[in-house]
Amino acid sequence: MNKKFILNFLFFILFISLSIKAQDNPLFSAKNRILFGNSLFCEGDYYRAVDEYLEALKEVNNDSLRFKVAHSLMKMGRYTEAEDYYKGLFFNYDLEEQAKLGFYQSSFYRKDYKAFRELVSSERFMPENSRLEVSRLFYATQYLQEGMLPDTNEVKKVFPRKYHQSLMTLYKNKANPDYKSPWTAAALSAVIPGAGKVYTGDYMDGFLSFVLNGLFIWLAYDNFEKDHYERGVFMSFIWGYLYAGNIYGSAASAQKYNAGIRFNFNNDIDIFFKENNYFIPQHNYCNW
Amino acid sequence: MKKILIAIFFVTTINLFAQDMLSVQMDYANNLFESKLYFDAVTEFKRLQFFDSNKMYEYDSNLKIGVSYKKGAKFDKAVEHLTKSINSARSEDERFEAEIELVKANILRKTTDNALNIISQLEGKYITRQKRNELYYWRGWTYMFADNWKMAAFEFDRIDPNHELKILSQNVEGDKYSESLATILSIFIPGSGQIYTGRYLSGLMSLGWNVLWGYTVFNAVDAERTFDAAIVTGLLWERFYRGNIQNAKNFAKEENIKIANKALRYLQNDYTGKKP
Repeated sequence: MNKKFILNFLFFILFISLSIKAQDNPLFSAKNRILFGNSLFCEGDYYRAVDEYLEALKEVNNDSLRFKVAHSLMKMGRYTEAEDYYKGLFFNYDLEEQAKLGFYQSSFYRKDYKAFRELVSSERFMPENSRLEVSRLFYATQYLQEGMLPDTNEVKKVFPRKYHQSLMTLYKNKANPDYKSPWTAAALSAVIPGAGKVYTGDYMDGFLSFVLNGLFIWLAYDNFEKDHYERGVFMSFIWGYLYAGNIYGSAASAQKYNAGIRFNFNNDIDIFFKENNYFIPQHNYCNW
Repeated sequence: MKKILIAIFFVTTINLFAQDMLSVQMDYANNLFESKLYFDAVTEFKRLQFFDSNKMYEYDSNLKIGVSYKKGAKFDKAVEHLTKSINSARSEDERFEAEIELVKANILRKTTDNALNIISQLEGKYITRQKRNELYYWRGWTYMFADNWKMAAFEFDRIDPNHELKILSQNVEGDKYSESLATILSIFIPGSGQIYTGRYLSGLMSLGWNVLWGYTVFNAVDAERTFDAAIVTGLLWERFYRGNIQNAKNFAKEENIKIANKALRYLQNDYTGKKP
């Protein structure tokens, strides 16, 4: 082994090390970015996964990555951007169906239910094999939007049988909510102070209102009877104030009661559909 | 011989290459961390972890990810990664460092019991004066964040009787109003509890209302108008009197929150020592 060979060998190693140091870190190659992005995507770190995929897409043309970007954006709540990415995949034979369904899902999640129903009715970009899922979203909007009622026969056609009872209960609650009329509450309290509050379920307030009104009427009457004119007027004023407050309070109590019913109902609907992922099969696309 | 040298060359090159790219990545992530670009730092430490198949940087990356998440107020994530870094610590010092970071995350997350439990466990393990002092210090911080300034002062006193934070905690404790005293004062002299907490106008008004209704009641009793006296007592005086007591207690609470917040603001903006 001659010295010259060993010397050349050592210089070669030095050269290689320096070259490595100088070149771009291979961890940032498109291939590695995709691998790393997939790991982030699978652990649900969509913000970072999108960054990696977008960087990789500058170097490679990969529609699966674009699909994952769209899916991540949808998961992040950036629905409009997600829709744009999905649209770009409508001409990919393999991804067309999933992309169109994703597009409809994003449009649904945007909560512009009127626009969503128009989209469904127009059948634009309709995923042919996922018509049933889109129909479910369509009827879900009618449950979720105030002032709308779905057609129960259609609902039964598109949703799985085991959910029919829950859906019909929700329908009934929406069609005939257990509201209390503010006018009835006010009228009841005008006739019998506190009765309107009892009608809205505010029993203690109703009882107190009845007692206080009775007490001040009696005080006013008693003072007038005993010729304490000023005190009688004073008590009458207090009674008038209490009486008016009792009527107004009963109407307000009915409105509060109705708001509570509405809030609970909306919450129930929201939870029901969310828990069932809006009746769309769940994919995490982790192994794509 | 030549064959051996060539084999050495390949093995060395491959190792050197992998090691080098990871150390370069570590430096890059560290630079981002030092530049306080915590979102990017987390990304780069995660990238390092992903490619670090030998888990050489497991401890450092998890520690820095945890601290970055803590800085971004993502405390649950911070705790998750700091726990991982504790499990991958290579020495007692590394373990201690990660555990202290975990305590800090719990302080900021206001999971006081967790922070105190970790500190108590560490106290059983570490007996050197320096480490003990560090534990007292962070226990003091835990108490400050839990609004227990008396215990905080006690912990800082264990480090140094003239410790800056001991004096601060003592001052806060001294400046605070006693809710019980404010309540008792207002029970005996309506309005005096409010005056004690510095709410003079409210105190005087409360006193005025109670004197007015008290006078009306006594006047009615004197004139043998028992029913009037009962009505004024039940519907007016009793309410003003009860309101006066409640008010005094609430004012003391509000003032105490202001005092504590002022101290916490000082700690956040002007205190130069170690912070969680």
